[in-house]
Amino acid sequence: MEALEKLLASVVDRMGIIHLDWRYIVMWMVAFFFLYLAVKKKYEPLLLLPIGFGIFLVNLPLAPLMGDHELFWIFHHYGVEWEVIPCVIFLGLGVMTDFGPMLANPKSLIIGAGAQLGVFVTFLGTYVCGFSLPEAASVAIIGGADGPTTIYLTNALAPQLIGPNALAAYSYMAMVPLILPPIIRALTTKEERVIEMKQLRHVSRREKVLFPIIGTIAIGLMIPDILPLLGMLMFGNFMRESGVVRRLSQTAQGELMNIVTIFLGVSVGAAMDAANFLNPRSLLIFGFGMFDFILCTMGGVLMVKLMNLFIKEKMNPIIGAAGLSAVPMASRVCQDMGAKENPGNFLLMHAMGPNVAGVIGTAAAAGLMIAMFK
Amino acid sequence: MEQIWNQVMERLSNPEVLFGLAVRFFGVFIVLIIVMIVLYFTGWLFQRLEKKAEEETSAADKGSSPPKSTPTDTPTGAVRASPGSEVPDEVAVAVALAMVPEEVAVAVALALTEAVEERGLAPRLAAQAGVSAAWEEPGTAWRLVGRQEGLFRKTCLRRDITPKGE
Repeated sequence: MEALEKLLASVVDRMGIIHLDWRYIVMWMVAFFFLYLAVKKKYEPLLLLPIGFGIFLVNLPLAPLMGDHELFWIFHHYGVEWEVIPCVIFLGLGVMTDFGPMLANPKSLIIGAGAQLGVFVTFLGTYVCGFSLPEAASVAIIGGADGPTTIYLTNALAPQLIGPNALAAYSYMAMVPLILPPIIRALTTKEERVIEMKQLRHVSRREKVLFPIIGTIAIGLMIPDILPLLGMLMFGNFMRESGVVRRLSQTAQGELMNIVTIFLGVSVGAAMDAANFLNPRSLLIFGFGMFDFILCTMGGVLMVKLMNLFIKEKMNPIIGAAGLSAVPMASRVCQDMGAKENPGNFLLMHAMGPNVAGVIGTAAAAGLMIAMFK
Repeated sequence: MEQIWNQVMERLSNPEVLFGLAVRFFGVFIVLIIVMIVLYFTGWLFQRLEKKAEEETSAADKGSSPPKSTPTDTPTGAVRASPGSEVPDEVAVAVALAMVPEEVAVAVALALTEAVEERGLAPRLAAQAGVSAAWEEPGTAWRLVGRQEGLFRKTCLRRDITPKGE
Protein backbone atom coordinates (compact mmCIF):
# COMPACT_ATOMS: atom_id res chain seq x y z
CA MET A 1 0.00 0.00 0.00
CA GLU A 2 2.84 2.33 0.93
CA ALA A 3 4.60 1.49 -2.33
CA LEU A 4 1.44 2.25 -4.28
CA GLU A 5 1.08 5.56 -2.48
CA LYS A 6 4.68 6.41 -3.29
CA LEU A 7 4.17 5.50 -6.92
CA LEU A 8 1.02 7.56 -7.09
CA ALA A 9 2.76 10.50 -5.44
CA SER A 10 5.63 10.32 -7.88
CA VAL A 11 3.21 10.16 -10.81
CA VAL A 12 1.28 13.13 -9.48
CA ASP A 13 4.51 14.98 -8.81
CA ARG A 14 5.53 14.51 -12.44
CA MET A 15 2.30 16.16 -13.59
CA GLY A 16 2.78 19.71 -14.79
CA ILE A 17 -0.48 20.95 -13.35
CA ILE A 18 0.81 20.44 -9.80
CA HIS A 19 3.67 22.86 -10.51
CA LEU A 20 1.62 25.44 -12.35
CA ASP A 21 1.74 28.93 -10.83
CA TRP A 22 0.83 32.48 -11.87
CA ARG A 23 4.18 33.12 -13.53
CA TYR A 24 3.54 30.42 -16.10
CA ILE A 25 0.10 31.85 -16.80
CA VAL A 26 1.61 35.32 -17.33
CA MET A 27 4.13 33.85 -19.76
CA TRP A 28 1.34 32.07 -21.64
CA MET A 29 -0.36 35.44 -21.99
CA VAL A 30 2.87 36.87 -23.41
CA ALA A 31 3.14 33.90 -25.80
CA PHE A 32 -0.49 34.25 -26.90
CA PHE A 33 0.03 37.96 -27.46
CA PHE A 34 2.88 37.20 -29.87
CA LEU A 35 0.84 34.51 -31.58
CA TYR A 36 -2.03 36.96 -31.89
CA LEU A 37 0.25 39.57 -33.47
CA ALA A 38 1.60 36.97 -35.88
CA VAL A 39 -1.64 35.25 -36.86
CA LYS A 40 -4.28 37.94 -36.61
CA LYS A 41 -2.29 41.11 -37.24
CA LYS A 42 0.27 39.44 -39.51
CA TYR A 43 3.16 41.40 -37.93
CA GLU A 44 6.38 39.58 -38.85
CA PRO A 45 4.63 36.18 -38.62
CA LEU A 46 7.74 34.33 -39.78
CA LEU A 47 9.46 35.33 -36.56
CA LEU A 48 6.75 36.04 -34.05
CA LEU A 49 4.98 32.74 -34.61
CA PRO A 50 7.95 30.48 -33.74
CA ILE A 51 8.98 32.86 -30.94
CA GLY A 52 5.47 32.84 -29.48
CA PHE A 53 5.17 29.09 -29.67
CA GLY A 54 8.65 28.66 -28.21
CA ILE A 55 7.67 30.84 -25.23
CA PHE A 56 4.49 28.84 -24.78
CA LEU A 57 6.27 25.47 -24.85
CA VAL A 58 9.05 26.31 -22.40
CA ASN A 59 6.55 27.74 -19.98
CA LEU A 60 4.71 24.49 -19.51
CA PRO A 61 5.82 23.23 -16.11
CA LEU A 62 8.37 20.41 -16.17
CA ALA A 63 8.70 20.54 -19.97
CA PRO A 64 11.96 18.73 -20.79
CA LEU A 65 13.02 21.29 -23.36
CA MET A 66 15.62 23.66 -21.96
CA GLY A 67 17.53 21.41 -19.58
CA ASP A 68 21.04 20.27 -20.47
CA HIS A 69 21.08 18.50 -23.83
CA GLU A 70 17.32 18.73 -24.23
CA LEU A 71 15.76 19.68 -27.55
CA PHE A 72 15.51 23.48 -27.33
CA TRP A 73 18.76 23.65 -25.36
CA ILE A 74 20.47 22.02 -28.34
CA PHE A 75 18.92 24.53 -30.76
CA HIS A 76 19.87 27.39 -28.48
CA HIS A 77 23.33 26.16 -27.63
CA TYR A 78 24.54 25.28 -31.10
CA GLY A 79 22.51 27.84 -33.01
CA VAL A 80 22.52 30.96 -30.88
CA GLU A 81 25.31 30.55 -28.33
CA TRP A 82 27.71 29.38 -30.98
CA GLU A 83 26.62 32.37 -33.06
CA VAL A 84 25.83 30.26 -36.09
CA ILE A 85 22.24 31.28 -36.75
CA PRO A 86 22.70 35.09 -36.83
CA CYS A 87 25.54 34.71 -39.32
CA VAL A 88 23.58 32.32 -41.55
CA ILE A 89 20.64 34.74 -41.46
CA PHE A 90 22.96 37.49 -42.61
CA LEU A 91 24.05 35.25 -45.47
CA GLY A 92 20.43 34.91 -46.59
CA LEU A 93 19.85 38.61 -46.04
CA GLY A 94 22.85 39.35 -48.27
CA VAL A 95 21.38 37.25 -51.05
CA MET A 96 18.02 38.98 -50.74
CA THR A 97 19.38 42.53 -50.51
CA ASP A 98 19.88 44.79 -53.47
CA PHE A 99 22.53 47.33 -52.53
CA GLY A 100 21.82 49.22 -55.77
CA PRO A 101 19.86 52.08 -54.16
CA MET A 102 22.65 52.63 -51.66
CA LEU A 103 25.31 52.53 -54.37
CA ALA A 104 23.29 54.98 -56.43
CA ASN A 105 23.06 57.35 -53.47
CA PRO A 106 25.98 56.77 -51.06
CA LYS A 107 24.72 59.66 -48.91
CA SER A 108 22.32 57.07 -47.52
CA LEU A 109 25.16 55.80 -45.38
CA ILE A 110 25.15 59.04 -43.40
CA ILE A 111 21.43 58.58 -42.77
CA GLY A 112 22.17 55.03 -41.62
CA ALA A 113 24.77 56.42 -39.21
CA GLY A 114 22.36 59.11 -37.96
CA ALA A 115 19.82 56.43 -37.16
CA GLN A 116 22.24 54.97 -34.62
CA LEU A 117 21.62 57.97 -32.35
CA GLY A 118 19.26 55.97 -30.15
CA VAL A 119 21.81 53.20 -29.70
CA PHE A 120 24.27 55.54 -28.01
CA VAL A 121 21.76 57.51 -25.96
CA THR A 122 20.19 54.27 -24.71
CA PHE A 123 23.61 52.92 -23.90
CA LEU A 124 24.10 55.85 -21.54
CA GLY A 125 20.60 55.49 -20.08
CA THR A 126 20.88 51.78 -19.38
CA TYR A 127 24.31 52.21 -17.86
CA VAL A 128 23.04 54.92 -15.54
CA CYS A 129 20.16 52.63 -14.54
CA GLY A 130 22.55 50.07 -13.15
CA PHE A 131 23.43 47.80 -16.06
CA SER A 132 27.10 47.00 -16.56
CA LEU A 133 28.85 48.47 -19.61
CA PRO A 134 28.63 45.28 -21.72
CA GLU A 135 25.00 44.81 -20.69
CA ALA A 136 24.22 48.43 -21.54
CA ALA A 137 25.78 47.95 -24.98
CA SER A 138 23.75 44.83 -25.65
CA VAL A 139 20.49 46.52 -24.65
CA ALA A 140 21.32 49.64 -26.65
CA ILE A 141 21.74 47.75 -29.92
CA ILE A 142 18.03 46.82 -29.87
CA GLY A 143 17.26 50.22 -31.40
CA GLY A 144 19.17 49.30 -34.53
CA ALA A 145 16.17 47.07 -35.32
CA ASP A 146 18.42 44.29 -36.47
CA GLY A 147 17.60 40.97 -34.84
CA PRO A 148 20.69 38.96 -35.84
CA THR A 149 23.04 41.78 -34.81
CA THR A 150 21.26 42.12 -31.47
CA ILE A 151 21.62 38.39 -30.83
CA TYR A 152 25.24 38.38 -31.96
CA LEU A 153 26.25 41.32 -29.78
CA THR A 154 24.26 40.18 -26.75
CA ASN A 155 25.77 36.75 -26.98
CA ALA A 156 29.24 38.22 -27.17
CA LEU A 157 28.83 40.71 -24.32
CA ALA A 158 25.93 39.74 -22.06
CA PRO A 159 24.59 36.26 -22.85
CA GLN A 160 22.35 36.32 -19.77
CA LEU A 161 20.20 38.96 -21.53
CA ILE A 162 19.73 37.08 -24.79
CA GLY A 163 16.06 36.26 -24.17
CA PRO A 164 14.68 39.68 -23.30
CA ASN A 165 16.96 41.48 -25.77
CA ALA A 166 16.05 39.30 -28.73
CA LEU A 167 12.40 39.36 -27.85
CA ALA A 168 12.37 43.13 -27.47
CA ALA A 169 14.22 43.56 -30.78
CA TYR A 170 11.92 41.28 -32.76
CA SER A 171 8.71 42.48 -31.19
CA TYR A 172 9.53 46.13 -31.84
CA MET A 173 10.66 45.25 -35.36
CA ALA A 174 7.25 43.72 -35.90
CA MET A 175 5.70 46.97 -34.73
CA VAL A 176 7.67 49.18 -37.13
CA PRO A 177 4.47 50.09 -39.08
CA LEU A 178 2.96 51.39 -35.83
CA ILE A 179 6.05 53.08 -34.38
CA LEU A 180 7.41 54.97 -37.39
CA PRO A 181 4.50 57.05 -38.80
CA PRO A 182 3.68 59.14 -35.69
CA ILE A 183 7.37 59.97 -35.17
CA ILE A 184 7.82 60.99 -38.80
CA ARG A 185 4.68 63.11 -38.67
CA ALA A 186 5.80 64.79 -35.48
CA LEU A 187 9.21 65.73 -36.87
CA THR A 188 8.30 66.84 -40.40
CA THR A 189 6.06 69.38 -42.05
CA LYS A 190 3.58 68.61 -44.83
CA GLU A 191 5.83 70.45 -47.32
CA GLU A 192 8.77 68.24 -46.38
CA ARG A 193 6.77 65.04 -46.66
CA VAL A 194 5.64 65.78 -50.22
CA ILE A 195 9.16 66.40 -51.55
CA GLU A 196 9.66 64.35 -54.70
CA MET A 197 13.09 62.90 -55.16
CA LYS A 198 15.00 62.59 -58.41
CA GLN A 199 15.18 59.15 -59.92
CA LEU A 200 18.27 57.24 -58.80
CA ARG A 201 21.05 56.69 -61.29
CA HIS A 202 21.49 53.34 -62.95
CA VAL A 203 23.98 51.14 -61.12
CA SER A 204 25.95 48.85 -63.39
CA ARG A 205 26.27 45.14 -62.76
CA ARG A 206 30.02 45.55 -62.41
CA GLU A 207 29.54 48.00 -59.54
CA LYS A 208 27.10 45.67 -57.83
CA VAL A 209 29.43 42.70 -58.16
CA LEU A 210 32.42 44.59 -56.83
CA PHE A 211 30.62 46.25 -53.91
CA PRO A 212 30.69 43.21 -51.58
CA ILE A 213 34.45 42.99 -52.02
CA ILE A 214 35.10 46.72 -51.69
CA GLY A 215 32.67 47.01 -48.77
CA THR A 216 34.24 44.06 -46.96
CA ILE A 217 37.71 45.51 -47.35
CA ALA A 218 36.60 49.00 -46.24
CA ILE A 219 34.66 47.86 -43.17
CA GLY A 220 36.61 44.72 -42.36
CA LEU A 221 39.89 46.57 -42.10
CA MET A 222 38.38 49.07 -39.67
CA ILE A 223 36.11 46.85 -37.55
CA PRO A 224 37.27 43.23 -37.89
CA ASP A 225 35.10 42.20 -34.90
CA ILE A 226 31.98 42.40 -37.01
CA LEU A 227 33.32 40.35 -39.91
CA PRO A 228 31.45 37.14 -39.02
CA LEU A 229 28.20 39.02 -39.60
CA LEU A 230 29.15 41.53 -42.24
CA GLY A 231 31.37 39.07 -44.09
CA MET A 232 28.45 36.67 -44.46
CA LEU A 233 26.21 39.52 -45.60
CA MET A 234 28.70 40.49 -48.27
CA PHE A 235 29.31 36.87 -49.24
CA GLY A 236 25.58 36.38 -49.76
CA ASN A 237 25.38 39.55 -51.79
CA PHE A 238 28.34 38.52 -53.90
CA MET A 239 26.61 35.22 -54.69
CA ARG A 240 23.53 37.16 -55.75
CA GLU A 241 25.25 39.74 -57.89
CA SER A 242 27.77 37.43 -59.53
CA GLY A 243 24.83 35.49 -60.98
CA VAL A 244 26.90 32.35 -61.47
CA VAL A 245 25.70 30.40 -58.43
CA ARG A 246 21.97 30.69 -58.85
CA ARG A 247 21.36 27.39 -57.05
CA LEU A 248 23.37 28.46 -53.99
CA SER A 249 21.66 31.85 -53.93
CA GLN A 250 18.25 30.24 -54.10
CA THR A 251 19.13 27.88 -51.27
CA ALA A 252 20.58 30.63 -49.08
CA GLN A 253 17.55 32.88 -49.44
CA GLY A 254 15.03 30.05 -49.49
CA GLU A 255 15.34 26.77 -47.69
CA LEU A 256 18.38 27.62 -45.58
CA MET A 257 16.87 30.92 -44.44
CA ASN A 258 13.59 29.22 -43.60
CA ILE A 259 15.31 26.49 -41.60
CA VAL A 260 17.43 28.87 -39.53
CA THR A 261 14.44 31.17 -39.02
CA ILE A 262 12.53 28.29 -37.43
CA PHE A 263 15.46 27.42 -35.15
CA LEU A 264 16.12 31.05 -34.31
CA GLY A 265 12.49 31.78 -33.46
CA VAL A 266 12.10 28.73 -31.29
CA SER A 267 15.46 29.28 -29.57
CA VAL A 268 14.70 32.90 -28.78
CA GLY A 269 11.25 31.97 -27.46
CA ALA A 270 12.76 29.14 -25.46
CA ALA A 271 15.08 31.56 -23.68
CA MET A 272 12.03 33.29 -22.25
CA ASP A 273 11.10 31.14 -19.29
CA ALA A 274 9.19 32.76 -16.46
CA ALA A 275 12.21 33.05 -14.15
CA ASN A 276 14.22 34.75 -16.86
CA PHE A 277 11.54 37.14 -18.03
CA LEU A 278 9.50 38.17 -15.05
CA ASN A 279 11.94 40.49 -13.36
CA PRO A 280 12.36 44.26 -13.31
CA ARG A 281 15.43 44.14 -15.54
CA SER A 282 13.47 42.55 -18.39
CA LEU A 283 10.80 45.21 -18.09
CA LEU A 284 13.51 47.88 -18.12
CA ILE A 285 14.96 46.30 -21.25
CA PHE A 286 11.56 46.47 -22.95
CA GLY A 287 11.16 50.08 -21.87
CA PHE A 288 14.60 51.06 -23.08
CA GLY A 289 14.03 49.11 -26.30
CA MET A 290 11.03 51.26 -27.16
CA PHE A 291 12.87 54.45 -26.21
CA ASP A 292 15.77 53.28 -28.37
CA PHE A 293 13.56 52.61 -31.39
CA ILE A 294 11.97 56.03 -31.12
CA LEU A 295 15.33 57.77 -30.84
CA CYS A 296 16.80 55.83 -33.75
CA THR A 297 13.85 56.77 -35.96
CA MET A 298 14.20 60.38 -34.86
CA GLY A 299 17.93 60.25 -35.55
CA GLY A 300 17.37 59.16 -39.15
CA VAL A 301 14.69 61.76 -39.86
CA LEU A 302 16.65 64.57 -38.23
CA MET A 303 19.77 63.56 -40.11
CA VAL A 304 17.96 63.96 -43.44
CA LYS A 305 16.68 67.35 -42.34
CA LEU A 306 20.21 68.35 -41.37
CA MET A 307 21.60 67.14 -44.68
CA ASN A 308 18.89 69.07 -46.54
CA LEU A 309 20.39 72.29 -45.16
CA PHE A 310 23.56 71.65 -47.12
CA ILE A 311 22.57 69.80 -50.29
CA LYS A 312 21.05 71.18 -53.47
CA GLU A 313 18.60 68.39 -54.28
CA LYS A 314 16.47 68.02 -51.17
CA MET A 315 15.64 64.61 -49.81
CA ASN A 316 12.29 63.64 -48.41
CA PRO A 317 12.82 63.31 -44.62
CA ILE A 318 10.43 60.36 -44.52
CA ILE A 319 13.24 58.16 -45.87
CA GLY A 320 15.32 58.96 -42.77
CA ALA A 321 13.07 56.66 -40.76
CA ALA A 322 14.23 53.80 -42.96
CA GLY A 323 17.64 54.19 -41.36
CA LEU A 324 16.41 51.55 -38.95
CA SER A 325 17.63 48.30 -40.37
CA ALA A 326 14.29 46.50 -40.39
CA VAL A 327 14.61 45.52 -44.06
CA PRO A 328 12.39 45.97 -46.03
CA MET A 329 9.54 46.80 -43.68
CA ALA A 330 10.86 50.24 -42.76
CA SER A 331 11.17 51.11 -46.47
CA ARG A 332 7.67 49.91 -47.13
CA VAL A 333 6.31 52.07 -44.33
CA CYS A 334 8.14 55.09 -45.83
CA GLN A 335 6.74 54.30 -49.28
CA ASP A 336 3.19 54.04 -47.94
CA MET A 337 3.52 57.24 -45.98
CA GLY A 338 5.04 59.12 -48.89
CA ALA A 339 2.32 57.88 -51.25
CA LYS A 340 -0.37 58.98 -48.79
CA GLU A 341 1.04 62.49 -48.67
CA ASN A 342 1.65 62.69 -52.40
CA PRO A 343 0.22 59.88 -54.55
CA GLY A 344 2.82 60.56 -57.25
CA ASN A 345 5.69 60.06 -54.88
CA PHE A 346 7.58 56.76 -55.04
CA LEU A 347 9.97 56.62 -52.13
CA LEU A 348 10.55 52.88 -51.94
CA MET A 349 13.87 52.76 -53.77
CA HIS A 350 15.06 55.97 -52.09
CA ALA A 351 14.23 54.47 -48.70
CA MET A 352 15.97 51.21 -49.49
CA GLY A 353 19.31 53.07 -49.52
CA PRO A 354 19.13 54.23 -45.87
CA ASN A 355 17.54 50.91 -44.98
CA VAL A 356 20.49 48.79 -46.09
CA ALA A 357 22.84 51.50 -44.84
CA GLY A 358 21.14 51.01 -41.47
CA VAL A 359 22.10 47.34 -41.54
CA ILE A 360 25.72 48.31 -42.12
CA GLY A 361 25.50 51.12 -39.53
CA THR A 362 24.08 48.84 -36.84
CA ALA A 363 26.72 46.23 -37.63
CA ALA A 364 29.41 48.91 -37.40
CA ALA A 365 28.05 50.11 -34.04
CA ALA A 366 27.94 46.51 -32.78
CA GLY A 367 31.49 45.93 -33.99
CA LEU A 368 32.72 49.01 -32.14
CA MET A 369 30.92 47.90 -28.96
CA ILE A 370 32.46 44.42 -29.17
CA ALA A 371 35.89 45.90 -29.80
CA MET A 372 35.62 47.97 -26.63
CA PHE A 373 34.01 45.54 -24.22
CA LYS A 374 34.91 42.02 -25.18
CA MET B 1 16.77 61.29 -4.39
CA GLU B 2 20.15 62.76 -3.67
CA GLN B 3 21.54 59.27 -3.29
CA ILE B 4 20.27 58.28 -6.74
CA TRP B 5 21.66 61.48 -8.22
CA ASN B 6 25.05 60.82 -6.63
CA GLN B 7 24.96 57.27 -7.95
CA VAL B 8 24.22 58.51 -11.47
CA MET B 9 27.00 61.10 -11.30
CA GLU B 10 29.38 58.51 -10.00
CA ARG B 11 28.58 56.22 -12.89
CA LEU B 12 28.91 59.03 -15.40
CA SER B 13 32.24 60.11 -13.95
CA ASN B 14 33.72 56.88 -15.25
CA PRO B 15 35.83 58.20 -18.14
CA GLU B 16 35.23 55.04 -20.11
CA VAL B 17 31.54 55.88 -20.37
CA LEU B 18 31.24 59.34 -21.87
CA PHE B 19 34.54 59.29 -23.71
CA GLY B 20 33.93 55.76 -24.99
CA LEU B 21 30.43 56.71 -26.04
CA ALA B 22 31.66 59.67 -28.05
CA VAL B 23 34.37 57.56 -29.66
CA ARG B 24 31.87 54.88 -30.64
CA PHE B 25 29.23 57.28 -31.92
CA PHE B 26 31.66 59.22 -34.06
CA GLY B 27 33.40 55.97 -34.90
CA VAL B 28 30.25 54.77 -36.68
CA PHE B 29 30.11 58.03 -38.61
CA ILE B 30 33.78 57.85 -39.53
CA VAL B 31 33.50 54.25 -40.74
CA LEU B 32 30.40 54.97 -42.79
CA ILE B 33 31.80 58.22 -44.19
CA ILE B 34 34.88 56.32 -45.35
CA VAL B 35 32.66 53.70 -47.00
CA MET B 36 30.64 56.50 -48.57
CA ILE B 37 33.74 58.13 -50.02
CA VAL B 38 34.88 54.78 -51.39
CA LEU B 39 31.44 54.25 -52.97
CA TYR B 40 31.40 57.72 -54.51
CA PHE B 41 34.84 57.14 -55.96
CA THR B 42 34.06 53.68 -57.35
CA GLY B 43 30.70 54.92 -58.67
CA TRP B 44 32.37 57.79 -60.47
CA LEU B 45 35.02 55.46 -61.86
CA PHE B 46 32.54 52.90 -63.14
CA GLN B 47 30.29 55.55 -64.62
CA ARG B 48 33.23 56.95 -66.55
CA LEU B 49 34.27 53.51 -67.74
CA GLU B 50 30.74 52.73 -68.88
CA LYS B 51 30.34 56.04 -70.63
CA LYS B 52 33.57 55.43 -72.46
CA ALA B 53 32.53 51.92 -73.46
CA GLU B 54 29.15 53.23 -74.63
CA GLU B 55 30.76 55.93 -76.72
CA GLU B 56 33.06 53.39 -78.31
CA THR B 57 30.14 51.07 -79.09
CA SER B 58 28.01 53.84 -80.57
CA ALA B 59 30.93 55.06 -82.67
CA ALA B 60 31.46 51.54 -83.98
CA ASP B 61 27.71 51.18 -84.73
CA LYS B 62 27.63 54.45 -86.63
CA GLY B 63 30.52 53.34 -88.76
CA SER B 64 29.05 49.95 -89.70
CA SER B 65 25.21 50.09 -89.73
CA PRO B 66 23.05 51.55 -92.55
CA PRO B 67 21.13 54.77 -91.80
CA LYS B 68 18.03 54.14 -89.71
CA SER B 69 14.59 54.90 -91.05
CA THR B 70 12.60 57.47 -89.12
CA PRO B 71 8.90 57.22 -88.32
CA THR B 72 8.12 59.90 -90.90
CA ASP B 73 9.67 57.76 -93.63
CA THR B 74 7.04 55.07 -93.13
CA PRO B 75 3.48 55.21 -94.46
CA THR B 76 1.38 54.91 -91.31
CA GLY B 77 -1.68 53.59 -93.10
CA ALA B 78 0.03 50.23 -93.71
CA VAL B 79 0.40 49.56 -90.00
CA ARG B 80 -3.21 50.43 -89.33
CA ALA B 81 -4.37 47.63 -91.60
CA SER B 82 -7.71 46.50 -90.26
CA PRO B 83 -8.49 42.80 -89.72
CA GLY B 84 -10.50 42.69 -92.93
CA SER B 85 -7.98 44.48 -95.12
CA GLU B 86 -5.98 42.97 -97.92
CA VAL B 87 -2.62 43.71 -96.33
CA PRO B 88 -1.06 40.48 -95.02
CA ASP B 89 0.21 40.34 -91.41
CA GLU B 90 3.81 39.85 -92.50
CA VAL B 91 3.76 43.14 -94.37
CA ALA B 92 2.28 44.94 -91.38
CA VAL B 93 4.96 43.46 -89.14
CA ALA B 94 7.70 44.39 -91.56
CA VAL B 95 6.49 47.95 -91.71
CA ALA B 96 6.11 48.08 -87.92
CA LEU B 97 9.62 46.75 -87.49
CA ALA B 98 10.90 49.72 -89.35
CA MET B 99 8.91 52.32 -87.50
CA VAL B 100 8.87 51.25 -83.85
CA PRO B 101 11.51 52.93 -81.68
CA GLU B 102 14.36 50.77 -80.51
CA GLU B 103 13.56 51.39 -76.83
CA VAL B 104 10.26 49.56 -77.24
CA ALA B 105 12.07 46.56 -78.66
CA VAL B 106 14.55 46.55 -75.78
CA ALA B 107 11.73 46.82 -73.25
CA VAL B 108 9.90 43.92 -74.89
CA ALA B 109 13.07 41.82 -74.92
CA LEU B 110 13.61 42.58 -71.22
CA ALA B 111 10.03 41.71 -70.41
CA LEU B 112 10.41 38.42 -72.24
CA THR B 113 13.65 37.69 -70.37
CA GLU B 114 11.88 38.33 -67.06
CA ALA B 115 9.01 36.09 -68.09
CA VAL B 116 11.43 33.32 -69.01
CA GLU B 117 13.22 33.69 -65.67
CA GLU B 118 9.96 33.77 -63.71
CA ARG B 119 8.82 30.51 -65.21
CA GLY B 120 12.06 28.89 -64.14
CA LEU B 121 13.12 28.24 -67.71
CA ALA B 122 16.32 30.23 -67.43
CA PRO B 123 18.60 27.59 -65.91
CA ARG B 124 17.28 24.92 -68.29
CA LEU B 125 17.70 27.08 -71.33
CA ALA B 126 21.11 28.25 -70.18
CA ALA B 127 22.18 24.65 -69.65
CA GLN B 128 20.94 23.70 -73.10
CA ALA B 129 22.72 26.61 -74.70
CA GLY B 130 25.88 25.90 -72.75
CA VAL B 131 26.22 29.54 -71.73
CA SER B 132 24.52 31.58 -69.02
CA ALA B 133 21.87 34.12 -69.95
CA ALA B 134 22.57 34.18 -73.67
CA TRP B 135 19.54 36.39 -74.25
CA GLU B 136 21.12 39.10 -72.14
CA GLU B 137 23.91 39.60 -74.64
CA PRO B 138 23.27 42.33 -77.17
CA GLY B 139 22.60 41.36 -80.75
CA THR B 140 21.90 37.70 -80.05
CA ALA B 141 19.21 35.61 -81.68
CA TRP B 142 17.28 35.70 -78.41
CA ARG B 143 17.00 39.43 -78.49
CA LEU B 144 15.92 39.44 -82.12
CA VAL B 145 13.28 36.81 -81.42
CA GLY B 146 12.05 38.89 -78.49
CA ARG B 147 11.97 41.99 -80.63
CA GLN B 148 10.05 40.32 -83.46
CA GLU B 149 7.59 38.66 -81.12
CA GLY B 150 6.92 41.88 -79.24
CA LEU B 151 6.50 43.93 -82.35
CA PHE B 152 4.17 41.42 -83.88
CA ARG B 153 1.95 41.51 -80.81
CA LYS B 154 1.99 45.26 -80.72
CA THR B 155 1.03 45.51 -84.37
CA CYS B 156 -1.84 43.07 -83.96
CA LEU B 157 -3.07 44.99 -80.94
CA ARG B 158 -2.90 48.29 -82.74
CA ARG B 159 -4.72 46.80 -85.72
CA ASP B 160 -7.45 45.46 -83.48
CA ILE B 161 -8.07 48.67 -81.59
CA THR B 162 -8.02 50.95 -84.64
CA PRO B 163 -11.56 51.61 -85.94
CA LYS B 164 -12.20 50.40 -89.46
CA GLY B 165 -11.75 52.90 -92.27
CA GLU B 166 -9.06 54.94 -90.51
